[in-house]
Amino acid sequence: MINLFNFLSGPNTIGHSKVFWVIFSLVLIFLFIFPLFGSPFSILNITYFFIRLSVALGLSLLWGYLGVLSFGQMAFFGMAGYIYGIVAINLVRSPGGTFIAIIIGILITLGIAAFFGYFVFYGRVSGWIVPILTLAFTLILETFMGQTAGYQWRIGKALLGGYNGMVNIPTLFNFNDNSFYYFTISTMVIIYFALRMVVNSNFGHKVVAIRENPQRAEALGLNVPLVQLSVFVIAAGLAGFSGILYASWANYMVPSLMGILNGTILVVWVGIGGRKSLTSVAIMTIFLQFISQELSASGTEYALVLYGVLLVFAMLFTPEGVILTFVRKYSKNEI
Amino acid sequence: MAESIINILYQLADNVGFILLSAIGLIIILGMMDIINLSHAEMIMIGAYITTLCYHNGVPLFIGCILSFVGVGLFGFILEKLVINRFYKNKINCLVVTWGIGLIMSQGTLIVFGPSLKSIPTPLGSFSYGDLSFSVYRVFLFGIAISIIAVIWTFLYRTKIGARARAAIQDPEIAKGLGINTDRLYSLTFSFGAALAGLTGALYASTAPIVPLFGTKFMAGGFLAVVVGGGANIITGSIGSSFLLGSISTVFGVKYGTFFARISLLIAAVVIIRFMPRGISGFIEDIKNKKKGRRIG
Repeated sequence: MINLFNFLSGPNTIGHSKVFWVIFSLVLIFLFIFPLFGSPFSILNITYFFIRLSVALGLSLLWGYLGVLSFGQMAFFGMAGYIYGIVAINLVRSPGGTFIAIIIGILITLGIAAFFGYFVFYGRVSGWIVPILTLAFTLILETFMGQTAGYQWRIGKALLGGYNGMVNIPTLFNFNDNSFYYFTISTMVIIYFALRMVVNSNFGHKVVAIRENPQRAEALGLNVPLVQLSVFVIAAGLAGFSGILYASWANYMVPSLMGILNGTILVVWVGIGGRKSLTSVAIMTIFLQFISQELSASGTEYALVLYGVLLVFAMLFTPEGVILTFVRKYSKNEI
Repeated sequence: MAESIINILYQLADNVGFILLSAIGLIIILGMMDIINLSHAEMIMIGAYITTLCYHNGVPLFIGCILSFVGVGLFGFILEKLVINRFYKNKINCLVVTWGIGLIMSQGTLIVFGPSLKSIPTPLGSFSYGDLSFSVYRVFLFGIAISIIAVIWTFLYRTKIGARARAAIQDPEIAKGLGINTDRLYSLTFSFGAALAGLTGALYASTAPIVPLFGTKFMAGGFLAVVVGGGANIITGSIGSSFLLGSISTVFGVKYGTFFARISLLIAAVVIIRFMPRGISGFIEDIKNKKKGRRIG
């Protein structure tokens, strides 16, 4: 157990100092007592912000640590959400139906990611192919879900619903108002810790080696396509988990969730904070969601223009990401 | 029988023309500079907006197309000077930054011009054969697409500047050493790619509603054509991928409808890159090199 925790810190993460862990614990304590005094609306809101953490951390692993950019994470998010919805609606009367729905949703998403990833990574394509293909995948999936309006598009009792979306998706937990909040926060914390261990483990070092120089990694005997495929599948699974939580939180799924704009927003969250650091990505994901919600009062287009400007400036001046650059510059990796 | 053959040929011309025009700007930038311009779709949209605004102000469609070509080309030129040229070393970041620019362009258009502009009518009318009626304009677009390729081919293989451009593709460092100004070449290439995107938007402005996400419908076809075509050779890449994807799209489109045509394109692209990771053009180059007995590198 002690050995496992040693993996939390290493060259591939930031956030090792006492100060960091004190702040981390304080935030965690605050989040766990928040429902005692927070309004139901703000509890729902915080849940909403944290749901997307899993998909963002998945993209950080894929893009930041492996160096493979994907625009398709929101497609996996949406796909898993829809599959969860289809199974859960059909099993709404059976006990444990929602848990079966989670498992089926994740498994199918992993399967499709593995199929897609096999062709891409074993073909040994150049770096720009994955972003472009995942982009096309996202576009086509969104159009497909958009045209599924009408009664003929139904699976069992679940109507797909076209652009209006799928409604009446059962919630994961029915017993208590705040249990979903606690479930979301604690799973996200577990995912965060688990990923920190993964990137500092032997496997994580292989992943970073492939990012730095695939040819050299291959020459040293690493199975490059296999590692790339595994990370791609893990990231898709994390995206799928977010999607399932979202479907369960909102009780509906619409095609635009997995569309091109949402895919972009995700890339912005991960790109601005510092894709090569899980902690930076986590902070930026929560922070930018908060900001964009404030801005959306005057129309989402203003938030999106701001996102675009932030992304361009971040890429121009701090290509490693704002938080990561700042930390590296002022603390010599002691944070 | 004759009717269905003509119908299939018409659909084929329509699909190939559409994919070729969607992709050509991207393929040129990829082939010459080895980068991907993800604001391509928004450049198409800007082209459509320029033509539409011109048309509503009494400018003929033809002049509007030229203005779109020049206007978006100029925009591309400025963009390359300000932003793109800093990203030649890091190609994935270049992809992300052009994506951010595209986001600013589409959402900025939404803020400035609102959700849509009044659309313009399709010119040239239609011809009919038997019970079927076809748009002349679509056939005209196919002709334009082929002419553009012909012009690019002539430029690359029959002019001195073209020879320099090809030298810069093959080995930028040695080309530089021989006195070829690669920076200027890149800048002109990016502008030309952007200008072609603007022209595509202008040409298709009369066929669809003019909205800020106008470019999105060119994305799937265009990007898949780039993946399938590859950047090893602009001419074989664009012709090969547009005819291959156009045929697949036609066969599936006639049989199962447009939606399954798109899915079939995606699956075709994924399978093709497993066997031709550098696309059709890379595959052809490899065969050529093998015949010459050169090492494939």
